[in-house]
Amino acid sequence: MNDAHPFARYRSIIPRWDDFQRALDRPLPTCVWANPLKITPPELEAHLREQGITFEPVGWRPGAYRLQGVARPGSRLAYLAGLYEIQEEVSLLPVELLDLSAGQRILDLCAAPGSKTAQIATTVGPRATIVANDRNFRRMRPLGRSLDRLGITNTTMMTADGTNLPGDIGKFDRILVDVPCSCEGTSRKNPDATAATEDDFARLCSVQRALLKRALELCRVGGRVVYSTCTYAPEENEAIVDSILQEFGSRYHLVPARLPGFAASSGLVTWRGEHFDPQLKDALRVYPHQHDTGGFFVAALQKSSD
Amino acid sequence: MDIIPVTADDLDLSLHSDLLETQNLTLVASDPLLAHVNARFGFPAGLFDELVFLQCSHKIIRAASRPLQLPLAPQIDRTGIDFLRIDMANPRMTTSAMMTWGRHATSNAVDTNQEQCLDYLRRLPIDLTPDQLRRCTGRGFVIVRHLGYPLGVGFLESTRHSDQNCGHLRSMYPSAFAADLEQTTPFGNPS
Ligand SMILES: C[S@@+](CC[C@H](N)C(=O)[O-])C[C@H]1O[C@@H](n2cnc3c(N)ncnc32)[C@H](O)[C@@H]1O
Repeated sequence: MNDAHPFARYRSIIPRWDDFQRALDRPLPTCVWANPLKITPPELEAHLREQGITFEPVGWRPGAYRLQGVARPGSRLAYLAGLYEIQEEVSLLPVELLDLSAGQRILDLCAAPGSKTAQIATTVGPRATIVANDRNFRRMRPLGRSLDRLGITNTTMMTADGTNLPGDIGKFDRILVDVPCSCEGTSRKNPDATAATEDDFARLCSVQRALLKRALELCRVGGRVVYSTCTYAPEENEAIVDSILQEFGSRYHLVPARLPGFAASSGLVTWRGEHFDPQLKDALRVYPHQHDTGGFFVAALQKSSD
Repeated sequence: MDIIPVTADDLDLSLHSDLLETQNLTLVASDPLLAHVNARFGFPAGLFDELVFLQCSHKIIRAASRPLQLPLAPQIDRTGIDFLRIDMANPRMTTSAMMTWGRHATSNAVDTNQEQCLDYLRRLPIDLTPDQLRRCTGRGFVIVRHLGYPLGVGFLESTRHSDQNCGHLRSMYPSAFAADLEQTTPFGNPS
């Protein structure tokens, strides 16, 4: 055990620290999901077998698979024909927690490069409307290509500052706020990802809070906003949600971010002497050794009044 | 090419009266827009009923799902997917449209073998077998599939046995996609 470990500041909150460290040294499995607009999960399984691709179903998410020994999953026939989409397993979580159903109007506030938008659009069915927004036009290009390849017709793309979207955009039943963050949880695929610094917090936290605040304003009463990051830092996770609850707590409450078959860790209610709203235990923290994934944080908020 | 503008009311869409103008979109009637496409590819009736068609430039008609609850602001970059290229002598379904609806085609769809499929994806011409040719009605655009999965568009030069280029199919697979395949094959074996 080594306290010079880049993520040593989280040692007190990460269960089974040794397992965590070991997981970070392993390569990340490739995960894909069957595109319901073109193929059913059993058909995709049959196709993968025919093509000699070995896979293992992701138990908690029907239609998702870990591929084994496929060097370039983005060059395989199933990808070119839009039968599957490649998406890291843990990043499937926030959309699964959006509680999607037919006919909803959904906003993906920070959408680029767009794998979660594609997941929303193919899950919710054609009679829904999805608005995918990101501030960065260049980063949105891959989303356009994904929509074309997957055959997604229910999605509209735009590039605007999500903290400042006009009221004329209309209200939404569901909003995903997958904010820019320090990306600590991506270190298995991106070795440069290291522990966040005070500079990162200074740069990111006010934007994260402003994005979540605007999302909550644009949500219909009774609707749901899911806030997510791929970082461990409580400053970017619980502290952001807590500050919103402190200011507007009577209008929003957390719903448990839990999925059957996916056991991970509860959100924190204290960090370095700071106390958060007790509801934050209903947020979800995922560490790489728990499901052989990257690290992630998700909180789901319900709006009870304007 | 018959592109007939229509109103939101004509299509039973409840849109803010300023929305289409603000977003630079023109709704287009599906009839006669789809007549040529339906005739050539033998799509089943009703296949496109849940879609609305929008002209967003002099080049492209897009297809988007109903009920099209677009924002009034800010300006959108795109909605739905590219459906028809209209800036050419023979308007044609785009690669994304062929990939999305091509599995329903009953004519002018070519089911390639693995070797033909590889050539198609590398933008090389392919020669159709007599059996493949029998499923095509004449010179023009065709849907290229493999194992039943549509991959894109090809142009069939001729179906007349007296022509030298009978059965000759030009690949129109997008060059950007083909470039992604330079070092590999979609079947996993080394190229
Ligand atoms: C974590 S990434 C989103 C990943 C995406 N949801 C996906 O699954 O592919 C965060 C995104 O937030 C965008 N972003 C940063 N500041 C923003 C702002 N003020 N408004 C909208 N998007 C913003 C960044 O451009 C970046 O693409």
